[in-house]
Amino acid sequence: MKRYRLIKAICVALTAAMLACGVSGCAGDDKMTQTQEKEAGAATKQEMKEAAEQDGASVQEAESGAALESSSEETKKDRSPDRANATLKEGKVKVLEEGDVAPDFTATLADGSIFTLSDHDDDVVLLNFFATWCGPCMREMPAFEMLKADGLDGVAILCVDCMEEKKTVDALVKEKGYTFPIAYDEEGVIENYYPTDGIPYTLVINKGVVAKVYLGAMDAETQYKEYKGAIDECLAK
Amino acid sequence: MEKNHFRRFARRYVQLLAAVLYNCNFKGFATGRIWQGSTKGVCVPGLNCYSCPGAVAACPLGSLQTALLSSKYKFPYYVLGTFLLLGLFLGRFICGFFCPFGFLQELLHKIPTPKIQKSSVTRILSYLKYGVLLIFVIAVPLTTLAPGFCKYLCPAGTLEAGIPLVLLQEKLRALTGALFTWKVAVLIVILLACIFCFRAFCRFLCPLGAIYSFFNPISFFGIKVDQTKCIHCDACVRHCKMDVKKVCDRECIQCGECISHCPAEAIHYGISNEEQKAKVKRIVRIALLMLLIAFLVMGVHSNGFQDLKNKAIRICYECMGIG
Repeated sequence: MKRYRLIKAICVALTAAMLACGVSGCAGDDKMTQTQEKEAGAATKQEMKEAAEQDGASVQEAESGAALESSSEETKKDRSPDRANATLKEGKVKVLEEGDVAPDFTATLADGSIFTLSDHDDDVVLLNFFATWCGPCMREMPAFEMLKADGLDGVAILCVDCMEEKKTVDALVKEKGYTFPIAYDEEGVIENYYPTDGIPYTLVINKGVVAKVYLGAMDAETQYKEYKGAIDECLAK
Repeated sequence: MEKNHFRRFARRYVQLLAAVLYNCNFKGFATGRIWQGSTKGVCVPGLNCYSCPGAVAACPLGSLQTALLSSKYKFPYYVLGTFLLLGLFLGRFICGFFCPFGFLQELLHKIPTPKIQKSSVTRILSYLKYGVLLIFVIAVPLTTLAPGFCKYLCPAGTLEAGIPLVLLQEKLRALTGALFTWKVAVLIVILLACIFCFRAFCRFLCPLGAIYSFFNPISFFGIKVDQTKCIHCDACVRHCKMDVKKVCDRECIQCGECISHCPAEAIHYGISNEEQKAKVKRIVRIALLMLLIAFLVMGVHSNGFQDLKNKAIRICYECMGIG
């Protein structure tokens, strides 16, 4: 009899836990979406405000996408409204696709310098999201070092660590001796603009527009060839 | 009538509730997106892939492997503390009651076919899981930076995450290759084996069961034998479908099947009996309890909860057989 009383108690406890988890889970989900919307919204407002300060013609050009072909100064100016919209789709953070404008961000690098995406509007940017606990991420890392060693003109590389502590990133850089730019993102602020279900997640950004998206990774050699090919393609355009 | 029904199916209800509780993000099954809430910072006791669209918490085995992957940058206090907590308090009671994949295997075994009975061969095969633990869960992540068990073997990952996500997300379909085919084949073989052999995966391959088995003799809660009542008839061992030599040894999943077959009513669930070989056990328990408290405190202090959440809110491509 004791046995069944005990099992009954476990059933009741599990049901209660399930209900509690479901309720708090849903609340957490809403909260998370709201936070993301709020963050994205705040950025959008800021960028829209900046865009509003520019002349109306440039906004129109940006909407038509024609501005990207003009001079670099105009390109920067004209892309602002699109960049703002790039982060939002139906009130939620948008998963980026090829052809989307890459949302701007500023990151602090492990070497202490600052990286701002919009400073590289004329370049091809290889943007990678990784973590030290992610096997495929760690295995493909030498590919970025090889690309950096190639010293290609007009190409910038940035690897963003996903929500790990600075000391963990520093330990990785120290141990492996990587020289390509690695950014901290302890709070996941950059990741909020580049949402993904999984990592490694790599984007090739050509003149501010997403040209190629990679999910997952094979070994460093394969990834080097893959990224090099995509970069060469963008440089040839 | 109602009481008899509950008596008969009590463990099934607990197993079902645990499976539903672990995977109550029902929206995820419709959208193909995984849960990203804070509950992912906690490990469930049983084997349940955290890349499953329904999973609301982390898998202990997946968490251990990813923690070992980055252990040279950060020692996995939180995950190891969680294992000590679960093992020390429940041991393989978790396998019998709180493991959804164990539940599925038991249901498959209900399919009426000729069954493979336990024997000295199955007893020898039961040691295989310690090899799987050592090679795939510990050695491979530490040496090749891959979660070996998740990547090459885990049938729960393929069933709960790999197949549903590949079906639901078109972009993932393009990434599948030989590894995914291998994992689906492993899943099919294991599921078929479970029809003929009771809990084949748990008995021969499951590294999580292997870890919990070390704690079985010293866990605070579980099946206990009252030695004053025991008549040593061995009815408990004869009726047990697992490869046990005695009640509550390393192979015992504490399902309670032996309770109903004991003519002396000497077996029951309960808190540890300190009378039996108490001294050694008590010392080991106290030492592990102190270690568990230290690990959990250091783990929480070093952001372990957040680290685990950050891992578990992302799809593990390798668990799905991609990459």
